[in-house]
Amino acid sequence: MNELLEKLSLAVESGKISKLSPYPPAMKGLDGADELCQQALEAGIKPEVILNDALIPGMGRIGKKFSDGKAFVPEMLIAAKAMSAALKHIKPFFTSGEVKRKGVFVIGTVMGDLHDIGKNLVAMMIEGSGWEVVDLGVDVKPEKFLEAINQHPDCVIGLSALLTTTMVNMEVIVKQIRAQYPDNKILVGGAPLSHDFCKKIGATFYSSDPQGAVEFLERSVA
Amino acid sequence: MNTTAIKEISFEELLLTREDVIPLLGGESEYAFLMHEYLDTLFEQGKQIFQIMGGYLVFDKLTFNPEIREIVIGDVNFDVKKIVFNMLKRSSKIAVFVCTAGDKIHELSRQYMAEGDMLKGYVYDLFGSLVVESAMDLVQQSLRLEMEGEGYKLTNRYSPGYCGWTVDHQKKLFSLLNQNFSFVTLSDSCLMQPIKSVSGIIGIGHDVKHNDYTCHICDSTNCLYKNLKKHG
Repeated sequence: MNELLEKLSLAVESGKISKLSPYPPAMKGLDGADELCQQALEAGIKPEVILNDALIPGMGRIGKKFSDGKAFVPEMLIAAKAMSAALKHIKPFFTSGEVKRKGVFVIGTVMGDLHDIGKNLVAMMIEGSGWEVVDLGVDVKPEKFLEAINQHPDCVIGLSALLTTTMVNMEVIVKQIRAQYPDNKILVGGAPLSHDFCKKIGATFYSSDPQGAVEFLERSVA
Repeated sequence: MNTTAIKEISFEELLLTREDVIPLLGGESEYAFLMHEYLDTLFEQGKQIFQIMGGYLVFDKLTFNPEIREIVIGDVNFDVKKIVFNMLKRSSKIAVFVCTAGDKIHELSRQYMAEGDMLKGYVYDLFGSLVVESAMDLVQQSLRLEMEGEGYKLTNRYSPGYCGWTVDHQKKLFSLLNQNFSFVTLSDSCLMQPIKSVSGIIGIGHDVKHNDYTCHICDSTNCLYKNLKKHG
């Protein structure tokens, strides 16, 4: 792989945002994701190559460490910020159409629940993997999901809940979505959920961590 | 007669230190120094950021229906499920409590997340949770002192949304409170405003007990203190 892309991928994985960022101490003074992405574009590397060969693998590795219990929420958030710093250089190419989005992902924390850190992390990682993300926020009622699907008919929907007492609201939302949009894929996530619960409520896929959500979406467009 | 106590609590009264926060953020890891900067600001500006209020209303008109694990407080019935029912069934009185850290901490957390600084948003969010729980510890301590004078003990505190007790019971819980508690309100979907607020009930009696460690009976997946320290 191109050396620049390797450095960029490592910067994302390590959470090295920019040259001035003090973290991680071992990379002090080195270029971060911000500068490296700019340099890669200036070197003529196509934005989709940067995305697919550097940003996605970098975020994927830290995502895998998180899944394996070898990285924690703060490290994921720092890496996500590094990815965002790189992504800001790629976004204009999405807007111009030079790089095609993989699809639209509509995400929200279900009604009655306001926890959004996990939801934000998933949204950020999915955006970083090349999807357009429509974030409906927290405490989202079924009507708001239906409205978003109406606007983006081919979207994949993501529902998040962190309480055992609000995850039941997922069932209400999934039922209403299925009644009008039986074919849209629905991804569910949140600490109290399980594969069995996902199956029971009629959702398509359950992921226990953000990386699983990214991988599911990758498979869904493959 | 129902006893009411409401108090404003200053940030300084909480006596919070970094040692209270760092373990909740993953301990003294390689990245901890990044969060110290945010904590410096929070400790320096805590007085301006937090508007802390808390209080309780004590009810002695209670009915316990073990067949359906229902507790009736005043005239309002609660299907609290097994864990909460068993912990409170020997109560002679029940205190309904509300406590808030105010709006600003959540607004700041949201603002930083929206600006892309998710770590800062996360630290602020977690600190807000710590402040409201610590403030509630003080409110609970006031209740304990008041009730000890009458020879009573307290249970742990329990909230709708946890231990199987459904979150939509917030509406019933808030129906028990009078206008003196209007510093916290409920949305249509039972979310408290300000977001960094807690509400719930505490059992009071001669034959009730407080458990220092309750993680093994609780199904909470997002508790601030999960497996970390003693519980209120």
